[in-house]
Amino acid sequence: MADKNTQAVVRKDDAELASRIKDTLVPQVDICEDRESVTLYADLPGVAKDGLDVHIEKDTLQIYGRRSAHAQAAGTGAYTEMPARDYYRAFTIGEEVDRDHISAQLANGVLKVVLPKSERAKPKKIDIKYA
Amino acid sequence: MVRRLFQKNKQLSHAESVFSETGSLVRFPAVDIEEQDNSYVVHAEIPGMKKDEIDVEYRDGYLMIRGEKKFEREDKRRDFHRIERSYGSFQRTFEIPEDIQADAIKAEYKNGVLEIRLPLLSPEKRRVKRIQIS
Repeated sequence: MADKNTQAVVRKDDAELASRIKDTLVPQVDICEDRESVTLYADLPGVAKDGLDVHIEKDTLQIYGRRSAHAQAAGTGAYTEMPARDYYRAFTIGEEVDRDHISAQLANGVLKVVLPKSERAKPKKIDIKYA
Repeated sequence: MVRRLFQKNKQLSHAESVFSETGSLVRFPAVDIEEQDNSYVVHAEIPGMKKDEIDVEYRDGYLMIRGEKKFEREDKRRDFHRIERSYGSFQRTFEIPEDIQADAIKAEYKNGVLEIRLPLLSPEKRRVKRIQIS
């Protein structure tokens, strides 16, 4: 799975997406793999379930997270280190991912996306017949 | 006013992480501090924790947040392509003005963000001294 952020996936006709991902933060991720699947974890602190958008288009997995607005809340003399920006990151996924069975869950500010491998891509042991 | 009071804390944030006395890497989660509805409100970004893994302590005018983010065991068996998220101990300490109700401090952990509310004392109890102009 390759990081696609460097080669922005914005098409010219997709102005809405272009404006959404402008000035976004790149969430940090862990990606691991076993025989069955590839699993991605992304740190998205401050993103609630309704502010999260995960989707796949062709070979691109896109994650967009809207940070809840506490930072913009009216207060006096705020001291801030948490940027009030949303998260966006895109990845290229390989042929081996079974696109119909991808699942995602969000808990405690961490998004977990499980990308199962298609049967064809799973390792198989070949039985050897003795003549 | 708050900005000035917390200036001391800001210096800490310039270093993303430091080595503690024990030699392990200690990280500083990012925080926001503001004054809101007669409280100081601290938000800290600590994704992927359980609420009982975070310690919040207030003592003698200092608020401390600390904990440890452990690498999950089930994942140790897998091959990792990328590890960008941070693990290990984290700690931050803030000097808080003493005009707060220490018994009424509340903390909540939601969506990976810890929120601590420190209610201010009522104005009568705050040490406000009017200076006579001669």
